[in-house]
Amino acid sequence: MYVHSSSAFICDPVDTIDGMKEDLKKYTDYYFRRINKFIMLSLMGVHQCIHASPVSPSAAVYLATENGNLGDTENVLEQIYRKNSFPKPFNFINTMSNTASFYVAQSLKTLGRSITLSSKNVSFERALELAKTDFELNHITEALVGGVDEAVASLDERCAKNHESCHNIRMVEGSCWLRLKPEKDGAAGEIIDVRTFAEMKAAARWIEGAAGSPVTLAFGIFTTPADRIEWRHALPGAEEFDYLSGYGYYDTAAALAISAFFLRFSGRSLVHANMTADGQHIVTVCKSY
Amino acid sequence: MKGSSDKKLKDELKQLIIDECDLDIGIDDIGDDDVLFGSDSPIGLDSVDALQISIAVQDKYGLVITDSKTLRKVMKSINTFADFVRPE
Amino acid sequence: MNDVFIRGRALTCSLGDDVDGVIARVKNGECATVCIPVRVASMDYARPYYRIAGDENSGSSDPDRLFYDILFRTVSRALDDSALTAVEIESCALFFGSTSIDIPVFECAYRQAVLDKTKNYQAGSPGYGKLAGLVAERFGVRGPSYTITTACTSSANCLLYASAMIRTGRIDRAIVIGYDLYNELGFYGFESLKLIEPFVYRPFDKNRIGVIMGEGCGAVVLDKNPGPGGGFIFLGGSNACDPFNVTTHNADGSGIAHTITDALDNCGLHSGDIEAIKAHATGSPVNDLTEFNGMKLAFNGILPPFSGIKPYVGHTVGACGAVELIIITASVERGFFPATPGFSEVDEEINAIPLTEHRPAGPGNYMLNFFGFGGNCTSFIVAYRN
Repeated sequence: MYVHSSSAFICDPVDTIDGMKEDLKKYTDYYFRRINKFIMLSLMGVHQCIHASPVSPSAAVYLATENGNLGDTENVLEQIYRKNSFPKPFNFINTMSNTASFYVAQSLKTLGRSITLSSKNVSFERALELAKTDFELNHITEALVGGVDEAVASLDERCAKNHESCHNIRMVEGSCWLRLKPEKDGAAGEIIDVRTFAEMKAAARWIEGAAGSPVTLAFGIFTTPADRIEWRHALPGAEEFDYLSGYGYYDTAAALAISAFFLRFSGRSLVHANMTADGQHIVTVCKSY
Repeated sequence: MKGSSDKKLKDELKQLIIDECDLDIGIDDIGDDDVLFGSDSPIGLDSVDALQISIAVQDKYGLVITDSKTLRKVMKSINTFADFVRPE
Repeated sequence: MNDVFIRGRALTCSLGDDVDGVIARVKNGECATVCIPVRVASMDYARPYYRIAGDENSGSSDPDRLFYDILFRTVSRALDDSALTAVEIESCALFFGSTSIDIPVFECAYRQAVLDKTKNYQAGSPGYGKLAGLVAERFGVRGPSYTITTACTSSANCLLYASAMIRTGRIDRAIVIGYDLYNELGFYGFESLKLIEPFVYRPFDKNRIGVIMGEGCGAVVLDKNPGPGGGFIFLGGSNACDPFNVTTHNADGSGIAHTITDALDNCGLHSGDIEAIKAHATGSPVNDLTEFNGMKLAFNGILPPFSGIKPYVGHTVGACGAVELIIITASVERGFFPATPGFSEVDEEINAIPLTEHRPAGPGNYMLNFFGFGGNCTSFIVAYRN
């Protein structure tokens, strides 16, 4: 899968989307109404990735998210249980987070596949696997794969699990996208592989042969300090890309690592090492031209 | 006073429609007799907008509209809508 | 490319929790709803719902336990049915499709917090992938997990991608789960959209009013190897987005026709190769009109026999892909393709006439279609080879 463009949209946590609505007008004439923050984030990221260039009418949209919308679920429950009323229709419709991939498709005028997908801690990597499968079966010729999540307040809890202080990491709203095609022509790089390993040793053995050179190494927030040492050992001389300190964290931040890599580095390989919820190692290998 | 004769109420309803349907216009952009729904309407609201407004009306004014035919009739224009909210 | 076999199945729905019993009731045309009172906004009416037995009265006793019991028991029975070894189970990928995920338990906690006057209840998001993670942990599944949330096509898309990944060899087998239980967010949400049928479920009928929702958990094991008794092959299909409107597809049926045609192409089949179609048939005036227009376009007006089966178990929303696949395949194995209960009067506006009696069925290709909010369209085809 070749990466033809990418976007790394992040911002500090916001209460309203009015500012983003204005910003979005720079990228598209479309006026979006009845949308929530999750949908707005999705649109910001994908339109920054596309930058008004034409998209195939059969382009597929894979939207990876850990949490989907947060605000409208709260709005609907408040309406039912606190106001003792019916949910407002738009709030209810937007509790279904695939409305975000719908608005993405509508604004890009694509009729292709539209999948909203989640997999604890590794949603973005799993979305890449779905896209790869569709490319292999010749079901699609272009894909937009995004990792979108609202900022949530519980970063400290997550860090506790990670045994590592992340007090310096700020929580952000994020929406990072890759535009993928099967053709190499005009590409900025490629996704070489996404692999899952039960054992760190097997992952380290594999990466020694699979990583290109020069190599950039980046870690997901859940990768333990001990495993980080093993990764560094397996890839001596790798330059580290600490995107979490540089940009901030959101729940599908693997998308940020990969998108930002393509935006910032050329002529390098990226190894992004992440952990699944059940403690397996998932590694994404990319190459920028 | 009938609702359609009360500018303040009508402005309030226009603002309610703008807020609930997330329209990028001001209250002056909605005429009192403008058709609110369908492709012939300058505002072009759809059936889900109508349902959204009906829940808001229920919450704000305690008025219940249960069937969609009545809903369409009531919300033909701002004037008919205002007369529904305050018949006299 | 690998073939993909339906190796194991289990479901829990309003008609029961064993496949034999459920299909016997389908054959008898049983449709059992209960009445759910509408409790908000000082309303004084009720709406029908297809509940899983023993569920509706459990109320406050322990809704959490019931929620997980139904899920784990159904998956456990599907694994038994598939006769997978422990090593094979460990190698499974897990696909979880749902509209509500864990909203049924989340909203109970929310309601309790309101009753207890706990201000600003915030449980924090456990993430959409939580339930798939719990199933994996419970059964020792170590393959990748994918939770797909595309409204009413959720578990249908799970089946589509599980089969695609087996076909390409990325995975050898998968447990595919569709799960949605009663929740007030969904029930009142559908009611606020005026989509709920107050009387009798009757898809395609002239007097149809809307949807009657249902609870369901369906678990399907797909494998590159056939199981002990399974005669069904999952051929593949297609998913597409009709960007017409977030709640309704284009009434001309073009988006739906495009999906059906693409599904046939992906399976290397022609329209004449389909024995019968399981329509999505939610019973909403717009869906049935749009869907029938789409079928006519895709099949050039020469339609195979078709049926909507939601009147048996309700519209199980995100679970309907898995639940309805199980009902259709198990019915065909028992020699019939189910009729559409409730249909009695032709709607001249669309002239759609679904099967009104069970149709004898045998080997052949069967198409199943699913549509949902967010313009989502999914069509897939299974082959019975006996």
